[in-house]
Amino acid sequence: MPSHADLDRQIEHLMECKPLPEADVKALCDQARAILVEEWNVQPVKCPVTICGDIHGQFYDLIELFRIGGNAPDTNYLFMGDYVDRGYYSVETVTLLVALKVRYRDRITILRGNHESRQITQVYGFYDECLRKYGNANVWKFFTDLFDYLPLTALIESQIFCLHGGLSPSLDTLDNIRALDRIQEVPHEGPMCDLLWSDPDDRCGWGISPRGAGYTFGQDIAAQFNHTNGLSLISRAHQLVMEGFNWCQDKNVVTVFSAPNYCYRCGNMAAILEIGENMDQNFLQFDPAPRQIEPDTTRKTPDYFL
Amino acid sequence: MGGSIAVHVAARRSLSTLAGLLVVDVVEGTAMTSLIHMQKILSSRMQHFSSIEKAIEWSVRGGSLRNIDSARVSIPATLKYDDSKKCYLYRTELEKTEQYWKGWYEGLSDKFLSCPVPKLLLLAGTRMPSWMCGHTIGQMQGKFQMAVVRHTGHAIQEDVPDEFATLIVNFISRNQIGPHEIEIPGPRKPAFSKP
Repeated sequence: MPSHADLDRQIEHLMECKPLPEADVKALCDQARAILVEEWNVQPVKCPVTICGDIHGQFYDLIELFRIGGNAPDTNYLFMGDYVDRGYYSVETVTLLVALKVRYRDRITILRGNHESRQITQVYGFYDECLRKYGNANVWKFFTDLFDYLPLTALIESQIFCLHGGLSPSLDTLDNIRALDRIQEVPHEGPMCDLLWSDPDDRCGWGISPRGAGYTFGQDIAAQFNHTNGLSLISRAHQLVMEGFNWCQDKNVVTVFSAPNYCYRCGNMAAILEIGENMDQNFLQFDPAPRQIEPDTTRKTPDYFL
Repeated sequence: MGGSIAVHVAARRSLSTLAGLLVVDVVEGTAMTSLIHMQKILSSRMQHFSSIEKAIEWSVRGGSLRNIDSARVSIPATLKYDDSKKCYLYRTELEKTEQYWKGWYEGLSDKFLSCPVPKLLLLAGTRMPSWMCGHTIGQMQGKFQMAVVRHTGHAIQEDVPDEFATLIVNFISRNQIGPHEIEIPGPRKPAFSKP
């Protein structure tokens, strides 16, 4: 059982954007699993807490986020998923967040996003990155097995409901969510899929999501869900918003996105949402970290054809 | 180019029956950066074939296709016989269309995203990194479905036709495209038998 000192050394190592050895990752994931298995599908969280959206492997921008929001454990954090894929440093990013979770379990909450999935990570980069950095897929397996244990949603002081995607037509109440069996690969459809894939929409009612998974939900749906469950707000991530945050549906729903200049090309700001001692809300916006030297990715003449 | 045509037609909103838009491995950003290589790619193709079978063989062995069965179907229509040279040549001289290439792809992303129907973008997974090639902002805003198909080249519909067909069927089903009234007939009821 690694000590706090071991964890502190690992965190210090990771803060320099250096991957841990494979054996250390395995031990870390085992510890994290033991913690996460005890957490709820609707994980209770106390204020003050700072809510964060998608990170997507943009490690240096995560460090910038900590610079803006404060370092753990001085600042309590709630991350709403999508730690991996697309960015260059998914390995370092997710390892750091898991290490912080193990080290400060009650001061950091990490939820599951639609990218915390075996199927998605094989397509969008995390799998390939693990192969490249470790020479085999063991670390990818350690993490994707761990992802099954991440909580699906969180509830801040019984008032603010937090999750990666959005609502589901199968789930009317928080108790419905508590009853789900979450420890599995993200299904292609169904309530668990919806929580990780759905988006709010300007149109009322439920709609077919253009993404191919989840649903779109209107203001009427969100307002009813909030009323039924005694909530003041649904906070979610999943969608790129150019200012880093976006209120919608008459302030029933807010989107928080925390990967600035997403994919190193979208030109968006990022944001985090501070919930204060008295449930006051304060958005902090930030720009990308100063340009890092980008790692080589294989460029070859395209076989692209007219 | 086919993808570009489809997008331009859809964006005009003149087809009242248009129910969905599926684009196969065509993205503005990738296309534009590829154009400077295109003449080199075209000139590096084998230009003359003694028979159609030779052309089919080349398209899989040295060209960009991976499925011989599909190539047998698609390649013949791209060729014509030259009586004077006594061999098969490409029917379309793509090199001479260079002046139009840019116009096919410029502004394609915005046009694609502006189409009001359900949209599916298929990308070939062999390009690295393939997920960087998409309409990134639009995808992360949840405006269309993207599927990365692994183990295939640019001509996804040729290289992996079964997987391609599955993706289309699922897209049609999920977006409830097509007549709803048609009922799939069950087994015929047994004839009424008098007691």
